[in-house]
Amino acid sequence: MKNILIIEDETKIREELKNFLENNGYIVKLIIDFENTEEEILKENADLILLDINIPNQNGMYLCKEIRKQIKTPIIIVTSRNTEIDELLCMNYGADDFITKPYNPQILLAHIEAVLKRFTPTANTYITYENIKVIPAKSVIETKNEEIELSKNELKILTYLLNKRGTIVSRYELMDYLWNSEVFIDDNTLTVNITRLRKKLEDIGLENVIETRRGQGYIIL
Amino acid sequence: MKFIDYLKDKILPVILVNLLGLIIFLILFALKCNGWIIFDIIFLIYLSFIISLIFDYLKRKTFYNKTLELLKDIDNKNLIHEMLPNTTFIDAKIFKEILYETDKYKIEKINEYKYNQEDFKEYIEMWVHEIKTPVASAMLTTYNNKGKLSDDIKIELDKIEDYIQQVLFYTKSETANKDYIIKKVSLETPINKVILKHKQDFLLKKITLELKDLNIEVNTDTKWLEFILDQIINNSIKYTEENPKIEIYTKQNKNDIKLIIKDNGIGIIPNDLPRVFDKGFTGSNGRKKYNSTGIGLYLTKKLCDKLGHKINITSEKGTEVTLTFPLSSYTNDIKE
Repeated sequence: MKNILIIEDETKIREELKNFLENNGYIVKLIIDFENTEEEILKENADLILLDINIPNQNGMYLCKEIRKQIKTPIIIVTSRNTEIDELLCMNYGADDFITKPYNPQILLAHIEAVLKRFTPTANTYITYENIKVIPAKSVIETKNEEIELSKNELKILTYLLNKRGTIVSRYELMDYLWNSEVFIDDNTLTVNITRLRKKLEDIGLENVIETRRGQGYIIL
Repeated sequence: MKFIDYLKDKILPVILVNLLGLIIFLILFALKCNGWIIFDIIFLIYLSFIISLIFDYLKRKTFYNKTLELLKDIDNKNLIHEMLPNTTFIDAKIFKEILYETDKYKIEKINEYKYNQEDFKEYIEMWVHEIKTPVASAMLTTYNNKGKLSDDIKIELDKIEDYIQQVLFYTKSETANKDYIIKKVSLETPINKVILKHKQDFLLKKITLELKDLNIEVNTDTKWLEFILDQIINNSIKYTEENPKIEIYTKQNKNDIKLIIKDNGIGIIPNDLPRVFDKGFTGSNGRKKYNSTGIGLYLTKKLCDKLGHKINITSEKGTEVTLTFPLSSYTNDIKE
């Protein structure tokens, strides 16, 4: 599980954000006292820093620059100013991403995931199912003797279902996930994609991997 | 200034001189002076009078004509008092003084309003940024407490967010400040952002979305373009009909790139079409069914003008909005 350090002086947001991220499977650390912010950040050794630019006693941009000098931990800057200039400044000060308030929490999650993904070596990650390997980096399914290519959509659907193995995923949830990764497909296209994916799985001898639960969605057992 | 008008203005001296001439004539006649002498005296009086009149007339004429000409030429008409030609007659000096005082007063007043407006703009911007924190916090609360109540509040929070954004861009569009940066941006980025923002609407209303040829760079400010696209796409989502469909694609021409956003919604009636960009205009559709404010498209147009994009709306079956990004004029702008 990944550690996220939240630097935010607004108590209410800090607590809600903590709950929200914890509900989504992260370990959250907070900075409550802004006397020695920089030292505390360095001490925490987080996997990702969520830095609000308007913190007391310090200039957030400057802080970002100082942290960046010493550690490589990814930093996402949270700000309520959303001009092009602000964004450029943040990037110049070494932030890895930039999100503006009021953010849609799901989009914040997507940003966090994307940044973390960029920072974790992906070369060898794969998901196994029965006797096959799904390798996202190459967008293929690997069996003992062959490799089957997957389209971008098929890969996304398959990995999502596999990561949620054992639970029913509704069509809406699946669409929602795909849209969040900027694949804007409609209902029919989703059906087509599922059918193609099933066909590919059948071709390598895996029948009925993705089960349909009527009125509820799909499940991989 | 015509001489005849000038004479009309000087009617009293003219009458007086005539009377004076008559009296002198009568006196001299009574004294039994020589007829030629009487004539010479009267002639001299008239001559000197007419010469002084003409001289005075010419002085005024040149002064006022020059002033009027200057007034036509200068941009800031409040500064005319600085430019007035030199002259010797007395009322011109008074005239100058009056102008000087009134202009000074006007300039002071204008500055006062300007500073007030700037203050107000600054306050609004600050307020917009302040209000975002509680909205963000409320948004997080709804996500942490799932349920129907939270979902309802979420929808309202989204609306609040849109209105806040509108306030910000309204103040930006009304002031002369150039707080945007024009650089090369792939159209895909802002479009994806806006679509993602309206994900819920697209999925719930089952709107088919067709995107084509959007990985193309234009010269714009991303944040402003995002707002513009948001207004347009928001309308397409709002005014849908059966089997809703939104197409977004580009056309590349020699001198410009056109971005077309087309929907098959209820469209705009021809009578309303010329006025859609007017401030406060809601149209028959907007008034009837939806509580539109008539600000969205007005702002869109204004921001487009500032960025140098052209916007055009047509409506046959559904609505088609075309944004035109010129290719050449900008490169000059950036070089500057």
